[in-house]
Amino acid sequence: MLQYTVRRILLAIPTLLGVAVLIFFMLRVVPGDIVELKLRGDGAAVSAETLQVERVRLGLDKPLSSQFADWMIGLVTLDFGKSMWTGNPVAHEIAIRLELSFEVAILATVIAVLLALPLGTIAALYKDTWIDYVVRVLAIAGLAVPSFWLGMLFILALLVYFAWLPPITFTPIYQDPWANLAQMILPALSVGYRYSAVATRMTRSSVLEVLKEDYIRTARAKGVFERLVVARHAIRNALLPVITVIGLEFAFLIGGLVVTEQVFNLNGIGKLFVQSVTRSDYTMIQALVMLVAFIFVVVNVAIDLLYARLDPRIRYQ
Amino acid sequence: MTIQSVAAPPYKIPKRRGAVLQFIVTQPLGAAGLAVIVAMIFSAAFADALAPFDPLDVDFSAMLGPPSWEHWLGTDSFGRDVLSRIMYGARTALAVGFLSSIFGCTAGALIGVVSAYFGGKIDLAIQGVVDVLLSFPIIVLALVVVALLPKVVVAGIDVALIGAIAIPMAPRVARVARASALAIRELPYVDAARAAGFSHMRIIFRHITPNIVAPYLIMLTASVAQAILLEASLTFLGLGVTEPTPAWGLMLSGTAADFYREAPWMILFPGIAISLAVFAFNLFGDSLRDWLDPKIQV
Amino acid sequence: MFARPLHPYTIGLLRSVPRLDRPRDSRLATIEGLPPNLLDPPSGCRFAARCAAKIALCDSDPGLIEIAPGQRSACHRAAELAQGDAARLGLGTVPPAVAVAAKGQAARPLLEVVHLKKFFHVGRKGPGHEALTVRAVNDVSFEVYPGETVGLVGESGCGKTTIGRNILKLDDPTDGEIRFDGRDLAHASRRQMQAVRRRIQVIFQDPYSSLNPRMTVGQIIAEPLNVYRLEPTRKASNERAADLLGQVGLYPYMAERYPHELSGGQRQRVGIARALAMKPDVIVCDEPVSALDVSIQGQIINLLEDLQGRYGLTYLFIAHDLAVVRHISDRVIVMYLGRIMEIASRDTLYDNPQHPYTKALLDAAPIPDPEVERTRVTRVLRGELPSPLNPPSGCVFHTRCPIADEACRQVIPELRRVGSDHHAACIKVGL
Repeated sequence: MLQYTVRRILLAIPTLLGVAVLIFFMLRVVPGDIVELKLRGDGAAVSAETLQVERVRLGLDKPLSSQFADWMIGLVTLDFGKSMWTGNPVAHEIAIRLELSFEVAILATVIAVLLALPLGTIAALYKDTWIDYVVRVLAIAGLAVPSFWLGMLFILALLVYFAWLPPITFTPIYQDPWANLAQMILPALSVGYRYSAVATRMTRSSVLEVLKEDYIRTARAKGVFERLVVARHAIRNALLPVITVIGLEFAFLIGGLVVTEQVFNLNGIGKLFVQSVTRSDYTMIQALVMLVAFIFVVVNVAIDLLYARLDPRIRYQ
Repeated sequence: MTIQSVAAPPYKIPKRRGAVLQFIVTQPLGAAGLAVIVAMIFSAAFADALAPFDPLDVDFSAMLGPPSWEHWLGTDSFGRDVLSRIMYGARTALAVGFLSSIFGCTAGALIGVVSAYFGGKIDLAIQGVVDVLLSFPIIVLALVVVALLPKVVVAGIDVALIGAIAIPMAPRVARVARASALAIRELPYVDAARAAGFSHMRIIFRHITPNIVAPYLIMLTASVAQAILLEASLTFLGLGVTEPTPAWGLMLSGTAADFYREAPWMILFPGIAISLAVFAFNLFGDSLRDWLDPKIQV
Repeated sequence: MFARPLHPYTIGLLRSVPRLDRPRDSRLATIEGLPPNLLDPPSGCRFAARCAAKIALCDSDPGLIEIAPGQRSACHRAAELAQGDAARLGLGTVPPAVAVAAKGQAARPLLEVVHLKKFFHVGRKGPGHEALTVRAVNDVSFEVYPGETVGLVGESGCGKTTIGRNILKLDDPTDGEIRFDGRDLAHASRRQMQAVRRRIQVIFQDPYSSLNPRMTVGQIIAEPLNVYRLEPTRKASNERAADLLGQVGLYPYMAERYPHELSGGQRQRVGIARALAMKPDVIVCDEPVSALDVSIQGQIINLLEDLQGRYGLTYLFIAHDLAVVRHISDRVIVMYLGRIMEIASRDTLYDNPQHPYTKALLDAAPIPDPEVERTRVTRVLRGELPSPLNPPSGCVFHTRCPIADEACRQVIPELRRVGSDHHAACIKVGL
């Protein structure tokens, strides 16, 4: 198992390297000069010297190869440089926002798991009844409803029924758990709906798959929940694809955060990303992209290791 | 003539007539989705005639008006008619959705087919890039592309936006197309074409691509749904469609954020429009898959 | 049933199978025509349209009547069949052969396969992972002369199809040469191949997947004509496609059809027409009748022979059915686990097989006649086919050979001459 773990972790390195190379060249090769954009963006008359000074300050005057070398060395030493916009270290800018975004992400995951597992299982057990249809329609709707709009509806509903608005300033959970939760639960629900929709669909089809197997068909005469009990040792296999989907969606939660943080005016990673794009803050974009890729790779490795734990054959392939 | 040993008339096999009817009967949910799509296309195409107001008409005397006989879905903070803006917004959503999906899916399909056909090192290289691109959420990659591409507006539509939506789609389509093409590449009729010495181009475009039309269409439909949602998200973030072009995402951003607590109809109906459109395309796409080829995983 | 069939259809089916225990007819008897459309079955006797012994009564539906104890037949003339021989009723007449061009052995072979090797690597490569090698074809040499048919037989997995694919350059040989008309194809570039491609064509086993489902029959046949500009205009190539359809026994109007609208036999004819369109010298027939109904097999074999006579074609006929190979071939190559066991002219091989593997194969082939089958002494091959990943040392056949001894485990037997136009790879076979 240890050998497999090491091998699997080493295999993740090329992916990260590929992301690093790709993002660097995507941002440099394409036309468009960040300095010009930043200083002349509003049509302001800025002299060529000022532009040059700014380029030197950002290290953009160096040849591409040495910029690339800096980027690679920075990656290994975890030094992502300074934001091209604020001038603060990128790592610092990210660190102060990470807590908030992670909390939303984890809450959303909890919500998704709590909704998806029971709903998906019940839908599968009552396949082709009205219960199944309701769950399926809710799930398909979850893929269609924009999370930012859902967030607005939540705020609206609270305002109408409770005349209450979520606070704007962030309270860390260790200071006042209730205030923190009150603020975080709505964004988590907004991104969690789509998340749980995906997981519910996967749970339903996985459970159906398990129920289809022969030895379970023989137990058909019994009630539905008894069937589930009969199938409980098979549930572990049914859970694997569900866990995979939950993991991958977790890695991709930043996609939902990007818009949801905007709606709830939360100063997290998603908002930082949008700001960086608007400001063409390349160092910040690079670092955030690496962070997203890193989370993706870590989740993938974790899923693979989990599979290997449950199915020893994988280790020796 | 040397017609020998063939006496019986050839088989009569029913033509594929009535395919639409068959789809409606066997896939009622898909048919419902299709109906919504058709209604959307209709109202977008004839918005000029159907919409009660000019979507850009500012009327300060009718600011933030609730739904009424005159303004069925109310007015926004500039007194613009919400219904008319939704109908014109459908134009933008459909145009961006279809254009970006067609570009993204076609590019992805070609990349996948080329990768599968040539195999070996070309395949490895392409799959390497595809894998890297797949490690990003769609919206993250779209935002990176938005940051890169300069804004070029052609016929009211931002080319950079189309690219930003199409590019994250391509690797996902490429993966499915590659799998389909790999299976087809092994079939004897492709061997026959190779034995005939046809060019790579001819084999790819005449013998392989026409046979992955089914997965392509399925992916295209699913992609339109995603593209509409993505366009709305990017627009909502201020990085997609910009004023004055009417767009659903725009109706949820800007001043809407300040006033929607007082005038909920401002955001309620555009949100329903987005959800319904995405829902309809997803529903139709799912049914299309069940109908054409249930084995395809999108 | 097999000894005394009492229905013209049964008689036809049995007669259309080439048989190892009977002298080889110049042509196979066939059941004329195509199976009827099940959506619109003919009234009366369903076989009447294809029956040579049809009489007026056949327009009414015959019941399944007991003719002899335990044997029932749905034919109005079953009683007559039970009494006399079928030939009197007009059954079992063999259609006359089209005049066959005299096959003389030319001095120079058209196709030479020299020490051909094709290895496939399976499994992951890299440190700690020994790449496994399948020796699909291992040092195979033979010649094919213009105008002849060479049969290539062996069990599935013996490498016969791989040889065909290498000749067509669908796979690249690992080692060795393939000389066509004096030129080496094994090392030819894509450009050099282009000039030869047209002259070597192929017919595949599976008529369902060998035609592009998105193209009409006419487009399929006309495609090479248009690509190589073999005809001056599109119209001319369409006309030639229609003519080719006639040549292979289909109707010109079928050019408008898509493959899924045709039956298996018809599709196989389209495949033949496509190969013919290029005016090839050699056609590699890769199990062209294995996937077809018995009644259709005979028709296709007859068609191939007619076309050979008409155009002086050369066939490399790959098959696992010994009887079919005997029927169509001039010379036969027997393969086992990637190596040639025996090569001989047809009659020599079937009348006087030398290699123990050939003998075993001929013994194991079923004969659809219970009386013959009863009297036959069969030597069944012992054991399983060894894995080509790890073929036996020495003679690859020694693990299953009835006469193998220690020497066979050591020495890889050379293909030696054992008679006129007869070679075998066995150290136990003396002259």
